[in-house]
Amino acid sequence: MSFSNTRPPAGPKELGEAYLPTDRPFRVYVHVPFCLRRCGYCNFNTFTSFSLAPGFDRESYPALLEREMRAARRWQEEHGVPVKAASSVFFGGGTPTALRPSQLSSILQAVRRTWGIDEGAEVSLEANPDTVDPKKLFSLRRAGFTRVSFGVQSWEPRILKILDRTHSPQAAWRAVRGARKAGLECSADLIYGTPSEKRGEWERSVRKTASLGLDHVSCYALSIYPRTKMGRMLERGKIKEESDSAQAMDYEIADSILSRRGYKWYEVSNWAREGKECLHNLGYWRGDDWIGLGPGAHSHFSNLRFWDFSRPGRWSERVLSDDLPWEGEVLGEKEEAEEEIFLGVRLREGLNLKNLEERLGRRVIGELPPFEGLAHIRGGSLVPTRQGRLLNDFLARSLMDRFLD
Amino acid sequence: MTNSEPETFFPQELIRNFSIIAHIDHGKSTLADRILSLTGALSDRQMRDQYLDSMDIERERGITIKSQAVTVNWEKGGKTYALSMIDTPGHVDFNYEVSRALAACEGCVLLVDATQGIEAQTLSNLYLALQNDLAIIPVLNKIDLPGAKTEEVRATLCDLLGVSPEEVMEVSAKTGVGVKELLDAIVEKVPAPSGDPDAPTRALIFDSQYDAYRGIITYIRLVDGRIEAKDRIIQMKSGSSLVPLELGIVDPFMRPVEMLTTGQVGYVITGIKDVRQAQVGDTITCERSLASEPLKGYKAPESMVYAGIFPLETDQFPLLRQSLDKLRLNDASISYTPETSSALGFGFRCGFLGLLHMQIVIERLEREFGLELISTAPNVHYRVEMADGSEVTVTNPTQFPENKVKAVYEPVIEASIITPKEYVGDVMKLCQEHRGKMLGMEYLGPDGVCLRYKMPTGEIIFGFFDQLKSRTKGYATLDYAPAGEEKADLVRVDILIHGELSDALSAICHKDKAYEYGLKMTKKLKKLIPRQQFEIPIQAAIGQRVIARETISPLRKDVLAKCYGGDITRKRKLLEKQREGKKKMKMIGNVAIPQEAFISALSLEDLDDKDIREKLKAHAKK
Repeated sequence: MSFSNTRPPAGPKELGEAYLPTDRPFRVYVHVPFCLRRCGYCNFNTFTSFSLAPGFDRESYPALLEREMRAARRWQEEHGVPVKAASSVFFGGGTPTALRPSQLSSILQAVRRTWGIDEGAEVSLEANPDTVDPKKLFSLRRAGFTRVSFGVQSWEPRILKILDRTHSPQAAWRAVRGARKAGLECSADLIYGTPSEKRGEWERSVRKTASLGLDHVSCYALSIYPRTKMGRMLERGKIKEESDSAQAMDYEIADSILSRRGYKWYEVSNWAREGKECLHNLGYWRGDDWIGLGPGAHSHFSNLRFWDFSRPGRWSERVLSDDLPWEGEVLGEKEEAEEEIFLGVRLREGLNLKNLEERLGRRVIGELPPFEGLAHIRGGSLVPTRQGRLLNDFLARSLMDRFLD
Repeated sequence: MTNSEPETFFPQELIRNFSIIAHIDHGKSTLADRILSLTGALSDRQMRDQYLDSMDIERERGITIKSQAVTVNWEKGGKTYALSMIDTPGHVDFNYEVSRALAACEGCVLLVDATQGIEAQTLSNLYLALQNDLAIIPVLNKIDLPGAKTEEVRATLCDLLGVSPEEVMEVSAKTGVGVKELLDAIVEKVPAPSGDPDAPTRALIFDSQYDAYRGIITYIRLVDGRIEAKDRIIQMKSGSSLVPLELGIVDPFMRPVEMLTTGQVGYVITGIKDVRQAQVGDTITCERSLASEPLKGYKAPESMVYAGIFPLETDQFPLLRQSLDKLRLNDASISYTPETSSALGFGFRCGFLGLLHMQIVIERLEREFGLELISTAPNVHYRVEMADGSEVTVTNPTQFPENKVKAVYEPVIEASIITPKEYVGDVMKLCQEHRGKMLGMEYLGPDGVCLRYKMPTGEIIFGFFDQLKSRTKGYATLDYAPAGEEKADLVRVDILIHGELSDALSAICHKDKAYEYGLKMTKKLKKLIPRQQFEIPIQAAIGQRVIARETISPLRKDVLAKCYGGDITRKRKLLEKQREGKKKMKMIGNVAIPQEAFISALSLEDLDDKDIREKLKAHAKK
């Protein structure tokens, strides 16, 4: 088999030596692995206890992150990876707002000290509606955050309960209002495909979201993983997974309502008002460079993909000895081509076929497999239709089958 | 060395060649083991359980497939006799091998389990022995077990063979009781071989095996004359001529000798690797004493069951061909011709003696040659008379003509079923369900009944035996023999996936069973084929007429919603894995079907659910 996953992971030194320079924008992702409690569907790398390992707790975390930042910068300098100011910063989790605004602020300061942040750059954080209040939101704005993304998930109490979320619809509404008052750009995440959710309930949630005047909306299909609370319920037959066709219908409903209300899709799961796309998010799909900080965070530099150790103890041990807590892979030509294809076809700007032709050294335009309503060519790029978004992995595989074998 | 003398010049009158006829589990292998230890052929340390069943598959299934010949010494009345024991298989599929073994003997031991009584299979082998004019020694085994119905079974045997009760011997192969007496009886009752030591050399090849190190090992029975180690030997049918590398007897280890003389059973190693050079049934003669007429040989075995066999990996096709060539060497009953399937690629249409034979051959190919195989559903062969007077023989459903058919003939068998009286009604019902016509019924002793039926071969070879066993609590036994052909109302049912014919799934059925096949196969496939980006109709059709249909709804969503924290690597690996998986699938038109789906669809496992039962009921009313 030619799988790259049979290769052992590469260490930081090996990665650095294999680096090939590019001129992509540079972004920073900060992972906050703390939550007040774990939701029923959650399989993320997050923890509810205060202390995660010796020397690693909620209080010491900002300092640990700064040590990782310094080590990362040293690595860049040692291996000729250009040091640039961040074009965007994103705090994800976990629950970033499980930390105090002052802590979040000092992490942001550390990013600024280490790399600098571009003037007017997008600085986002994810938040739970019930971990913020107007005062906290004001201090976040003051600290330099420009954008907040709330895990609203649903506006229906019944669905929130099934999802095992602690916040109420009222709390979500207050959070959104508070964020707008504080001058933050505001996004909401919704989840569709919750077991037993009726079409009407989903439709109401989308309509409610669209009526709040938000800048940005993300809709994610619920995936139930085996070792989660909901996974066990599924196993015991207490809940039933929604079929792919029900989920597809939910997606179509969301897409119709949101586009009627002035939101345009720009990535399979993301909709925004004109000019309000999340640039950090787009960076993932466009192949930008970014450094991920914190346990389990992923990074990308040109032909390198690497990730922080997920286990807190393993991660902090390295960080506390000023080592890099990373391992990863060096992408070969084949992997880079695969990525260009499957990342590109997720975007409304599409897969740039000219660039692909250049990379592959062969004709692509005019040689495309028949897509039958899944994609069309616009301005030299292959852009998925709504159906092509729903069958996006199929679309990507068809292209790879056609051009990469 | 003086003690090598008897091996080289063994006096003909001191040779006894015999085989043991017994039903599965009646203790034949245990008896053979007992004889080996009693005659000192195997020391206790060398003794392995059931030495003669040397193939793994035989050991696991507890049955003997390949006959082997072992020679042991036995003293009686101050003389040392050479007893050659030729092992025979015990399953109905292998009748052909039984007759081969019997042709090399002058006598046989009819071994019957005293707790079970005589069974249909044993009966038919007994008839074979009688036809060959062999001396028969009836023996009751397992007489020490609490359930032994010794007197009853003895009475049945006396009836069958026309012998007196005293002539029926009793042994316990397990404890060894009575085995000495049996060996003495073999010396007394089995005649010495009758060939002419001074006539031109003629030896019958009754078996051969392929050994990876030594090439072909040919087992022979000297009928006339002798073969010396330095003789140039000639195979009369194939015409090949050479000096053997080694001549020997099996005792039970391969022991080289200088000479094989009239009546002896032994082996020849020629160094030949080309398997077609050593045909079972051929006659060996030698240059020194050339025979002009070959021995009678054997009737070629008739294939009863046909199936396509395909390698899972297409590049294994040449290996499959070589493996079949080698296997055929010691199983002359396999036939094969190349076949191409749109779904399964290149393979062979193979003929087998029966279903068990087919399973064993496939298992041996996989185990001994490291192949991974998929086989189509088995079928029998049909003779089709066309409107224009021409004729077609169909061994593969795809050859079955759709138009201008005048008549179709299917092979039939005559079956003998022996069952306790109380199950006669159930057995008759079962036979009727399988289009059987009753030929007669006889009582065997106070409890047993032998039912004789004429049935289509295709009805009896698939699952019939299991059904018979389950309806008679395991008591009934079955034997059958080909009995020509009969005209029948047969149709070909095709399976279309997304409008494309999947040739591997076509079947020839009786008109009344076509709907059932179509219904079950379409249902099975619906469960087995993964949903794809478009709707997939699955149809069963006779010619242009669709008789059953299922639909696989299209996959509406195939996208990972999110890459957590930018974990692009995981997504890439997932897509790579999916692509690798698809490459291993078989394409029918543009529908990708996992290999496992074909394997399950083609397995003989029956599908049964409420919906099927209701639909079949409604169909029967129409």
